[in-house]
Amino acid sequence: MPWYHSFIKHTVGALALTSTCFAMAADLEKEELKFGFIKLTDMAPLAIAYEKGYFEDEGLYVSLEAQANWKVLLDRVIDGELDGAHMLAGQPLGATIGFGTQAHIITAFSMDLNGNGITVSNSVWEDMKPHIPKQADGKPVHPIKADALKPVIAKYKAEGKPFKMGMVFPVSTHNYELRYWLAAGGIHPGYYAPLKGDTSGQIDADALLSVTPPPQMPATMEAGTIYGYCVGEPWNQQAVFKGIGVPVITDYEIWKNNPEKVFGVSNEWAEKYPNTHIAVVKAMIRAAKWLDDNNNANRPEAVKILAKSSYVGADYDVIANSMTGTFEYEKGDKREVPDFNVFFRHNATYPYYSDAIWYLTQMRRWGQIAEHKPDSWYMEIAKKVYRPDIYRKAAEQLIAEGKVSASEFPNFATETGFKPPQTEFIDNITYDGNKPNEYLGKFSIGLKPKDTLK
Amino acid sequence: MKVLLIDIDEHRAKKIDAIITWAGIELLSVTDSDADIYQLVGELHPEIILVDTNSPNRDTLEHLAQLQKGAPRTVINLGGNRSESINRLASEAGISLYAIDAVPTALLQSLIDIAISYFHSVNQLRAEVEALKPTTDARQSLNKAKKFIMDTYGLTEDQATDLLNKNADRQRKPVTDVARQLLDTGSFI
Repeated sequence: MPWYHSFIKHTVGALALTSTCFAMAADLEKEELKFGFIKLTDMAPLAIAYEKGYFEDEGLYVSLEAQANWKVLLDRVIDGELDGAHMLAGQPLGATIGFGTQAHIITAFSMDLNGNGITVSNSVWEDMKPHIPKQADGKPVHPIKADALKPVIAKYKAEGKPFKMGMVFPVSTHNYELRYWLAAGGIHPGYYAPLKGDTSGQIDADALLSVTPPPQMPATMEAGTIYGYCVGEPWNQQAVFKGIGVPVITDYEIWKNNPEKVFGVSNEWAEKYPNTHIAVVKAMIRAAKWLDDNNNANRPEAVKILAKSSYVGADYDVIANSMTGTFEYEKGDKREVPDFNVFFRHNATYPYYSDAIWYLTQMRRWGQIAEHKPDSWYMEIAKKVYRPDIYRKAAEQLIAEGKVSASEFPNFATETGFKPPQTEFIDNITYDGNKPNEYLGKFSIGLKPKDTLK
Repeated sequence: MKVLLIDIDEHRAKKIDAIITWAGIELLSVTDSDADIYQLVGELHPEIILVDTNSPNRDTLEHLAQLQKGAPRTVINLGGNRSESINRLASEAGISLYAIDAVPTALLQSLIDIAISYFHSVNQLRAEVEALKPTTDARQSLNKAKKFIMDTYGLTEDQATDLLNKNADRQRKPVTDVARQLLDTGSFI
């Protein structure tokens, strides 16, 4: 039985009390906190803030509790059983606009950039290979585009086999990244259509996407139920270790330095415990910085911590494969991807409005948001959910305390929350967060700004 | 009427089984972690799914709930009291509930109440189940009648439903009466 399936909750209790920051603790509205996470390597900032005593430095007594699925994690944050959690970037946005569970969830801290990959089964890989250009040394040219998968899907279709692929949750980064990669290669991943009702939900699809729990991805692919998947680590590297599949691309190559997980709390909680919230963000900023310090020098130690069963609970080697700056594609084809996991540099922890809006555009592109929305709506939702104002307060305290230098943060006096137009996407389409509708109009596959699925 | 249990351990499944089968509901249980939930739901067409709150398969059910109207949906916004009891079901019995839109909310409410109360006291149950029985019987007849029409006339489920509704309208009778009559006599008249 895989660990994910276990019903046992692993609670890591924070008991030790250090002598620091008593004065600060006096301002905290709540000191004992319980945070939820899913067993993935990108929960690292929580584990490190705990293990390195950063929460305690802020006067917080935190316990971390692994959750069995994204749904229960969100439900527990909504009903207050958890004070906050490691969330999919789409979760606070999806919840706030009422796709899935309706609740006002906010985030003041982005947990990491990149960190996902797309893996296909060995037989799909063999079929793809003839369509992939080769380097001088015979290895495939990267990034591998879904153009190479298109003829394979056509072949499966001709044989009457629907081409199924796995992702982890309807509003997951993985869903949007897999869709982005497929569509960039001319493969339609299908629309959602909440208004349409009686449809298959995989309208117009060339590839049928389904939800599979991350730890079950390799086994589900091995069983032939799915032919590939998009997931976070260690589940791509696991396929290589087991010899059952080949990672074809990392999300870094789909969209360079894409935002991944966020730390989410309910808006109600944030309004009730504002100082506590700032303290939590401070501890997590320090943890993220530690994770990236000195060119990832602390990563091996981080991997040791994450390998513990109370955190990710996978083999050291499997976690280390991606966390220490390399990524193994086809067995033996290990390449340098130093930014595969980014926790702090490139302002990774700052909650950019433009990141929020990108996720909203993808929800709209695939019909999760069924109707046209003006640009102002995207702006409004981003401001409701992403809270750089809270982040700024935390950062300024850290700067004043001399724990982090101002140069390691965005210049708060001029920062707008919008990254300059981003060009590093696999399909070379430029994204400007200020113009979501114009952006939607640029895709050849996907709903156009005025389209409605009814 | 079918209820599918996913990842509900034997101990809890047994308790639920005792209540539900007595009420004439068909109970199916799956605990295989490799089970393909899409295929399972597609083949079995359960009207209600009870799933362990901590099952990894819940994320799959969430996806399913957003895909199709005919697929089970998350039941959360049933209104104040009902949402409360769904939360109690999750926290006290560790069970989450999904149901298709067609399941009457009263029936769902009874089922939830029963499941909760069973985990408190077995004694209160009989009366509640008895109250539930007419509703399940009615659904049972309706489903049988639909199947009869589909088999006999080669119609789709939607067409069969339509036919039953039209006859009920014409005869100004409740649709379940028309269904029962059809099953008893083999005729609408």
